[in-house]
Amino acid sequence: MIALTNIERAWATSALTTIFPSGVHARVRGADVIDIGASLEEVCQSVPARVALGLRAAVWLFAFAPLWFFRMCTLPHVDVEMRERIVLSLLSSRVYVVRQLAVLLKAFGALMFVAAAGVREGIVKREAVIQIGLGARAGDRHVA
Amino acid sequence: MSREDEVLPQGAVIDGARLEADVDEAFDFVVIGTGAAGAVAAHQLALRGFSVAMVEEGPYVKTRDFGPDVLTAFRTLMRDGATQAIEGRSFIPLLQGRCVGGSTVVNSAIAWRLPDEVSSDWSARFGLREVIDSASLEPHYDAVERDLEVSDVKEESLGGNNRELIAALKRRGIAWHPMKRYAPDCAGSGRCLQGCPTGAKKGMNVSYVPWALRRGARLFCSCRVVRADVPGHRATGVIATSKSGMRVTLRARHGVIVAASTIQTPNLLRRSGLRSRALGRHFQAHPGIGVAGVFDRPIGMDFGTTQGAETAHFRASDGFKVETISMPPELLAARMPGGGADLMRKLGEYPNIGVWGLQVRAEAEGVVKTGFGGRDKVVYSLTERDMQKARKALAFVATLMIEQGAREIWPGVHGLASAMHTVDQARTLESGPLDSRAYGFIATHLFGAARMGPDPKTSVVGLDFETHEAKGLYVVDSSIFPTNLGVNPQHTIMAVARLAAVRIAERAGKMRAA
Repeated sequence: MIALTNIERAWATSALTTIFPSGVHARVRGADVIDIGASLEEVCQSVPARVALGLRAAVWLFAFAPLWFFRMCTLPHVDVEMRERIVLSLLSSRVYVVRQLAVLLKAFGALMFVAAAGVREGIVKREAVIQIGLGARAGDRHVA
Repeated sequence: MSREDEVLPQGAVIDGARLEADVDEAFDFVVIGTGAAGAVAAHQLALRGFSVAMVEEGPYVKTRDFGPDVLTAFRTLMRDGATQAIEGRSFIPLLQGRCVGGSTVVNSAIAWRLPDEVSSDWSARFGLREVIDSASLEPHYDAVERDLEVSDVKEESLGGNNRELIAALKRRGIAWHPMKRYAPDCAGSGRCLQGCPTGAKKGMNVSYVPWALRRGARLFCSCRVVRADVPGHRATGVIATSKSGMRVTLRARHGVIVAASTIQTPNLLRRSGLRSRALGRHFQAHPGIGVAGVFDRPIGMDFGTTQGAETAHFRASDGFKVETISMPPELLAARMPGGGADLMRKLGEYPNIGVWGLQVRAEAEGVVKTGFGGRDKVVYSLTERDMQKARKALAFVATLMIEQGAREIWPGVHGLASAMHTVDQARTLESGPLDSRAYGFIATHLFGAARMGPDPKTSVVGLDFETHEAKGLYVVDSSIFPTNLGVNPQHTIMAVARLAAVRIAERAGKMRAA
């Protein structure tokens, strides 16, 4: 797989920081905590070629999606509000292949940024769990 | 921390990633695959005094190296980094372990015996009476349950997600049960999918594989089997390639036992020269869907057994099973609808989110093929009846979750509301689209594609587990199952492999004595 170009890395960064933005929730950091381009490159080198190709196609799809909204530019060059609208439209596209490609990039984006130091801890942090009483065990047995 | 995978006999494990010279060795049996089937079969043969080589494509990842990070787990433990997918009307992600221990390293270790109606069906329609049926499997289930200390999930390790499902089912008066699992000392770390960090889950990596090694077996890991060597319709060994590029030749005096899984076994048999028309056909699965919901109270999916509660109430009547599936944050983030600020707000509610799932006993049959570049390719599409079952199950789970107090659920059906808040809304799922592309299915339980049966025209493997086409070439994994089960298959895979190994050993013993 040929390495992602700098422009492809920038497109991927734009798409994934729009899907997973920072600053929305006090505990939950967004995708900008990682070097998205480098992480995606690493992923592309470790998955089968057809998947890497799919990820690359997804990056291009996000990059040029503004054209469908009559914006003659790539994703990083539209304003934040419009960018989110475009990204959401791809993730819920009526065209199955478009939707699947968008979800593929989103899924890998989630895997990449939650793995960064401190992100998981921030998301799962909670007050003590209140346990519900269960009472007697019931039900049929499934190991005789 | 498990010690089972730490202290192993010296020289028992040959790491193909570090191999610097070709290998050519002879054994009584060569077992391909170290998952639920291969590990059990290898152990049983080693126990009976045979020399055994186990060959595994993936690495031997030790308990001490399992971390919470899903991406790392996918890369190191799963086939194709967990990017495999069934192709058909829709893409259905297909999760398979590819490491020593196979999928038992990354599953929830759930123990279900073969349902009686499935056993009867196999006897009546496929001629498997007294070959694989409930009665013949019983002593093998008993043995596996003793070995792996099968027990109910303990109340203290249930965690909030499991407790909520149990409470919801109790409220409805529906029979429920804690899962029976191979994890008697589960600490509730909620990390079954990433490899158990305490070794409490008795995957094959910390049970039958090391036990077989202590009985004299040897393990060749990070070695991909190219083919079984079958000159003159008799299996004489295995040709593999190590990750470091060395040729590994393992000769087998008594037989080659294939336990490479439903997806890999058919193509391995093809590469070994088998040409049966039945090869690759009759693939079946249990497609599953998860429903996530947010409650006004803490759930805490990061604590508790990943899958600890279930109901099989609808298994016979409606063809589905409901169970919990606690998701780590990254999988939930990928699964939640949409993106942007709304998604991040939802992710911030992770501590209050639960996920329950459903598994459909689908009637659909697919085909395992050899795809471009020799890759394994599965073509499979759900039938309309399967989709009706899935819709009904989804509506049930969604309704149950709202009744239990979820203020918002995310059923993940394209074309319907991405968030639902009321029981009436949840019920609309029952009349949702019948197009599988609208749903986020996932496939984990796989069956068929090298079916067992008496007739070589319609089956690949005979009633003695030997392929019809090649002597000494046996198949013992779930690819021989004539149908899916409607319940989690690991327990039956292990019992069948044990039964097969006992019969194969008896046969080899007679030959040795003669």
